[in-house]
Amino acid sequence: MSDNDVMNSPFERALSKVTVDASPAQGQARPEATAEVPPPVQQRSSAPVGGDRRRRASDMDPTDLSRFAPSDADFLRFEERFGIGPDQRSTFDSAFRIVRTQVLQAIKDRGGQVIGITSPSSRNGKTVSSIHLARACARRAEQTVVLADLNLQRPLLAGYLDAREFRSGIGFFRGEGRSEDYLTHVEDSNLLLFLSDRGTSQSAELLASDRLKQGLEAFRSVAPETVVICNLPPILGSDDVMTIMPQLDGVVMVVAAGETGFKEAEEAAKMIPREKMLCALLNKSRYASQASFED
Amino acid sequence: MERYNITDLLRIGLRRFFWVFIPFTIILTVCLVGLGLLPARYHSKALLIVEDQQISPDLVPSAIRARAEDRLQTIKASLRSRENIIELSDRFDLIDRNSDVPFSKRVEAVKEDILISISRVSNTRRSRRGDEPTTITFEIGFVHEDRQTAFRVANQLVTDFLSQNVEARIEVAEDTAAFMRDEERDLRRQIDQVQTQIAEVRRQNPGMAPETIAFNQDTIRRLTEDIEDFEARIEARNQELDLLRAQQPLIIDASSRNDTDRQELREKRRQYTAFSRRYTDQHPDMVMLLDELLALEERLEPEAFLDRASKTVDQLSTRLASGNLRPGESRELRLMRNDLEARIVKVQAVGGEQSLPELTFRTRESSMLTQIAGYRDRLVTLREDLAEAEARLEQAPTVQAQLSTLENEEERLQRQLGTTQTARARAERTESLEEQQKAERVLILDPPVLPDVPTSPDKPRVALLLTAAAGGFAAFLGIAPVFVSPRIDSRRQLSQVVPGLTVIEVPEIVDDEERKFRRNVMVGLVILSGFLTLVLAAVAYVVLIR
Repeated sequence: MSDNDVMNSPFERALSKVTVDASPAQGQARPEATAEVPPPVQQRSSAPVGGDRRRRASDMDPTDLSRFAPSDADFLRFEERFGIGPDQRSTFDSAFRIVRTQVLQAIKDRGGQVIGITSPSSRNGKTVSSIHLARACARRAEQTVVLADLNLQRPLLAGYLDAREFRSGIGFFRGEGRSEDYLTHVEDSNLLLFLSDRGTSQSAELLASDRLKQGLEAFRSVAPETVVICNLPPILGSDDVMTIMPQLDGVVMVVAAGETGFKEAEEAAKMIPREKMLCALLNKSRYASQASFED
Repeated sequence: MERYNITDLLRIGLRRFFWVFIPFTIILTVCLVGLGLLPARYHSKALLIVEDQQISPDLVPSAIRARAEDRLQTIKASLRSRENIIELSDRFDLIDRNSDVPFSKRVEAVKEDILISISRVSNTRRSRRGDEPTTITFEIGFVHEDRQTAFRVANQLVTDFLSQNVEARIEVAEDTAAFMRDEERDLRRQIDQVQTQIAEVRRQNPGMAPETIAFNQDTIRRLTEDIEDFEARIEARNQELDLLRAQQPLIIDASSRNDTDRQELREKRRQYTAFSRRYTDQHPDMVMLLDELLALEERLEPEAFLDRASKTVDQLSTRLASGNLRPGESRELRLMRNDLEARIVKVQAVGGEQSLPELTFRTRESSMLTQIAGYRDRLVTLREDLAEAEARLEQAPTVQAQLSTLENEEERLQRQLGTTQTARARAERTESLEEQQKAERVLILDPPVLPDVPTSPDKPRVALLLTAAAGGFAAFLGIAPVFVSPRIDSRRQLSQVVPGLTVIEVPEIVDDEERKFRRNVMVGLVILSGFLTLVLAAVAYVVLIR
């Protein structure tokens, strides 16, 4: 599927409209409109969030999430961008509650904490699904969720959430600072975000470094009941997912209805170890009025 | 597990409805316009029927055994032959000489316009011939853009068809009769040849024909009896001869004892033997006694005479050769020797005097030997005849086999000749029937008429076919991509890819703008489809109804 095709999707049109409306003065391109995601907050991402106003998160109480820099992610804008109105919100909440329940139960049974969200190819809705799943998980009071954008080739999470106040995760993989310093806390929730603002062609090398292990280890221990949801690149076409696969405790495969071919899905399913498969998500289903699942 | 179930297929059909319907209406509209542009063609045709033979086949069976349908097919092929089509085309200007289409294709096109169909109507009451139906009807017609041309060509075709049918039947009847005559002639020639061969065999094997076997057997029996009879006779005569010869010395001895001359001869021999001890041979008593003895032996015992005379001649020759003879003695001795030699010759020729019993014996012996010799000669003749008769009898089976083969061949040929003569007579009657038009014939039920309504193209039928073809092609265009590049569209299909894994279905996000856009697209498609449907209906009305 070409970029132009994506441009024509409802999501793209909605995103472009919101982006243009929201920040025309900044002249930012839509994150998915180009191969390289523009760095909308690049000039700010190199410095710790809050500057000298805040202490480093790693220096504070390890059980208090407010020790992390507050996130400026705007979820309302995100929902507006993707056309989720009041009548659809309940449908989506219901759908991702089912996903949450399935995923958390499965990952708990396996004693893991790190969940990867991937798809056979791009434009299947991984990032949006990751956001919804993370929010659904974070609604549980005891559950702490770290949503990490590990799609280093094409990081879209920050753009989708219209987040600007964060340190780009690329810097962490390049050895700058500690992982906790790259997390931002969504206020009034148990959700932490690990975002990047630009893509890199050396994503596989970065993901293969010890920094990823260190980072994930740190993410697991930010709170007692923590689950790390990693937004991953497509499994076909690059080795990023296979590189990070040993660090994952479970994988959710997202398939776009009417877009993902049988062969792609079969190939992707073969590449994911069977024991790590948590569930499959049929996204963008035209014939489902509400979420449903089948064992 | 099947990749698509009925629900999936229905969804695909609904989702791709406009992808199918719009191309369908466009293709069908274009096809109908093309159909409307096709020139109208008129079909002028005649209905003909094959009428049965006028005279009952029981009375005059037809010699034409070819099925009427086959004959009609032959004539049909003849009418549709390239040569005939070119002739028709020249006559009615059916071929455009200036066209760029190859001439052969133009001829083929005219050939396609000649429509000849043969219908059979079965009749359960009886058959015309074998399994042939009682009634055969057929249509001859021609299709052309110009109805006048269609009418004229159809008329010409009917005329040609009828004339060819009559000519074909008469020709077949004539050919059949001629063939039968040739066959008859040939059979007669063969019979003559066989009869000549039979005569030759009989000539080369006289007395060996099958009918002479009994005669030969009688001859052999008779000859055998004759041979046995003659052998018995010879045996009897031999016995008689043996008895006669056994009795001969006794009879002759008894007879000779009573014969004085023989007593004297014996006496003279005793004297001669006695004198020869006392005298030389030149003694006058010895000479005289020798002379008397020779005279008696000359008459009574010629063999003894010949012996003694020969010795005496030798002695005389010896004395004459010695030379110490007295004068006149040599002459005397020579005369004596000459006399003896003359007498020897005479005795050798005539023999001596025989006694009556001996003469009787000799005569009877001679008679019996003559009879036996005659019998033997006859026996030899009879045996030769017997051998010849037996040889003939032995040879008879071979000759009989040859003759039997030839006679069987002759009989077969005679039978064949009879059949051929019957067939020839029937063929000649058929010939007469055909010439008098009394046999099976073809009648025109409906002559060709000037057509006033075009019959081709069959627009409703073609339109139906075009609808089906356009539907198929549009369906292919619209739905084939779904199957060429199959994509997962339902939870069931994803479950097939990741069996045993929980599959969660999340509805598609459709914002207001997208919903509006989709609605607009749907309305546009419905309007376009309606418009195309109206256009299609209008074109269909103009092409098919008006």
